[in-house]
Amino acid sequence: MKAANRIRLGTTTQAFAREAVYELPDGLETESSEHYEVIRKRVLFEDVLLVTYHRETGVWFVILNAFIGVFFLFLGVLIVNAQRTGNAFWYALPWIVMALPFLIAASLRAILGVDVVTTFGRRSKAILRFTFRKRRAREIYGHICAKVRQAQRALEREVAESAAAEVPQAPLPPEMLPPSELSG
Amino acid sequence: MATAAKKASPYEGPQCPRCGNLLADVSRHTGTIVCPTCSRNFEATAFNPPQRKMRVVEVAQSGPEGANACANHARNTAVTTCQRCGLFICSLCEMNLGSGSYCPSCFDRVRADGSLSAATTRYRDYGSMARVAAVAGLFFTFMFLGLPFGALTIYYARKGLAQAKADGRPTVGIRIAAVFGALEALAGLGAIVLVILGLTGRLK
Repeated sequence: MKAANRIRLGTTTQAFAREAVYELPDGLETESSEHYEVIRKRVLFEDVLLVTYHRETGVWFVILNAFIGVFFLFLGVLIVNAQRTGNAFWYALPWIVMALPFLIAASLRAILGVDVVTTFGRRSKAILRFTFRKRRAREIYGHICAKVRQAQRALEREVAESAAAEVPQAPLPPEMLPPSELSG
Repeated sequence: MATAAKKASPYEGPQCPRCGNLLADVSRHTGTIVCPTCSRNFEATAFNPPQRKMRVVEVAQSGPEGANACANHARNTAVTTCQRCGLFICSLCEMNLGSGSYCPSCFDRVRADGSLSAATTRYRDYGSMARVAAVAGLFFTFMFLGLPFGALTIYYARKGLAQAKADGRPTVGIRIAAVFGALEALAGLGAIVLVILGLTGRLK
């Protein structure tokens, strides 16, 4: 699928996997990268059963990052205590620098959480995660719901039309039949 | 507490986005849903998609003249032939991919051998492989392995570029990896030349 035909809605990067979700004219396409393989799946708007929106914190993410951050800080404190001479701050600085990203990540996750939009189809699902762009998450949720509604209404019409075409026509009453058919 | 709920793996249908347990049809509705298993809530919009009805014409309906029977369903009228094996197939068997119609067995085969790009759902990401080879090459260049790693990076980068262009993805990362690959190959070559010169006593 060419880039012109699909729009990237979001990308989720985890420890060993990365998943990008694109919007296609007829559905959502997910590309999950596992090691060196990319697995492509589609959730067609016509097949969507449920679209959900929720906010989660990810307790293990917060705990793990906080633990690593605190561990580095603890090492810094130990080293500073061991150094009796010179400026203690310069000894502690590298450890603070190492601890900061983990502590910031843990704090941001604990405060902001992650907004998750999940689209469940009949055979597959697509998950979109937004850490900072909360408004975008809400917009995407509304957009997917609107697209699904539109696709399923069109399908309903199509099914109704094909069902109507299949209904056999009732025979006309004898008084309405043309004379040529009456004589036959 | 919801003993019928079970972990959906592989995907079996809508689940609770928080705990991953299957949601029963009755608990799927628009509004706030409380998961019967984990008791946590989430916002949801439920849909009831209509089933697309397949219209199958039987041979008896269409009449014996001009109607070929499907090779798999003798009662059904064939609507087309398989592009690969020429088998008569009905609308139930037809696997139409836009580029042509296939019978189910041919579809499975072309999908398995990867010759049908529209049906490919799993492929190698050569861009990532090029980046990894480039990074590995940076370390191994000091061990005179820059040449094979550089060549490998360039090979993967070439394939990755073609893949990224076909998919319309950005190619900057792959190009950078290719430049690193070329530099590693040159460095590796230079290291080998230096070793040869050293061994032959021309390096003083």
